Amino acid sequence: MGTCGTLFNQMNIIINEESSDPLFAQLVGQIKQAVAGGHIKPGDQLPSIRQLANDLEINNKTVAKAYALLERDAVIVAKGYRGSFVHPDAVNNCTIDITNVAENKLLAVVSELKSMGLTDSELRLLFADIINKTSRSYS
Amino acid sequence: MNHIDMLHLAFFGQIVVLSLLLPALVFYKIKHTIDKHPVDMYPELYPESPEHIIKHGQVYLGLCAVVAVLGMYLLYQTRSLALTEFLNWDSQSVIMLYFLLQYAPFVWLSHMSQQFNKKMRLLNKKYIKTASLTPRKVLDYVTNKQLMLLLLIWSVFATVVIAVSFEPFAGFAGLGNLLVPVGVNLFYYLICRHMVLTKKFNPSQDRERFLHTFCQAMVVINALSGIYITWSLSQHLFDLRPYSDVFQAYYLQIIGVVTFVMFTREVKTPTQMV
Repeated sequence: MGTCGTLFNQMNIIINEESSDPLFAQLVGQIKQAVAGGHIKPGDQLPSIRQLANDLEINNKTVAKAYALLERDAVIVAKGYRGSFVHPDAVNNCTIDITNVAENKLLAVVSELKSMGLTDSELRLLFADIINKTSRSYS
Repeated sequence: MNHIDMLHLAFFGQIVVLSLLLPALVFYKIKHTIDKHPVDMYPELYPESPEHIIKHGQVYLGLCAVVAVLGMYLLYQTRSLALTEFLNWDSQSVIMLYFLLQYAPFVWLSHMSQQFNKKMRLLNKKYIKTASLTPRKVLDYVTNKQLMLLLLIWSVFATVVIAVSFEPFAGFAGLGNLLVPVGVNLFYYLICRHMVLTKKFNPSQDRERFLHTFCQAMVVINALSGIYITWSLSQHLFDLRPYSDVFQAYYLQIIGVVTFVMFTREVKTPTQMV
């Protein structure tokens, strides 16, 4: 996830529409930075999706996507109609980059399969097939 | 002076205050804020020329004047034909409908202001946007003392409803009136909540200041509504029901003046008022 470290200021989220980073990624990065920097503490409430989207003049779905990713990373917890709150272990969790972990795991698996003699195209087909199967089973 | 003369005097006041005096003050305020913010120093506030804004203000004044003339004609006809009720119908309903008619030019001006703000936003399109990470709530803008005051006012209303229910007058809705405070407070709460969460109408607006002013105005109007409704029911207990239309006309004037004073007190830019 891309971050805009120099743009973060106190309790404000600052997004740059001209940045190459997607808006949801900027939001995720800045909220993680706010948690890591102690600007927001575990248990603090975050603004509602509607408030943040209206203040930043962006789509509600963009903020919802950012919040969903933060919830997945256990940086925030959604408590139904009461809103979203900073996770009790958010400070530790926001230092973990889940995409980095996934990349390392995949690298090990792909290296092992290649050593067994599988070609790149076979691996791509297998990977696409597994993605499709897991998508179907999750949906 | 009998209650009909008092009603006509109150209605005359309603015409003068809401269709002549307040519109003139709104127009003066627009001109004053334009003078304080010259176009060469604040170009970001003017997606259209100041003359364009003043022209809209003049149209607003014209519309208000038409409504005032209609009101004066209604009053003249009622007195010349010696009618006991406006339009020979129901004075209370006529006063309320006329109030809505008086409010219509302001709705038009607000709509024009919204259009202007949209153009202002396009003129000042920013790629860097900021937002606070602190959640906003309606109760951040209303003090505990104000909540206690509202509770007191509506408790008095509930007491009056119960008192009147022992000796009801014709048309009294019974203990169902106890639902009125719930409905009224829910209505004002939802309006405030919408304003707290919605987009800024005016890009140059100080949001916190505006929300504070708006919620304070809603508290005052809510309190005045409570006092007026309580007084309306109490009139029966004091045999003042023939004067209810008079009180209504004065109440609408008070609401208009209070709203104007609260919303124009902290105006910073030409279109921030509406």
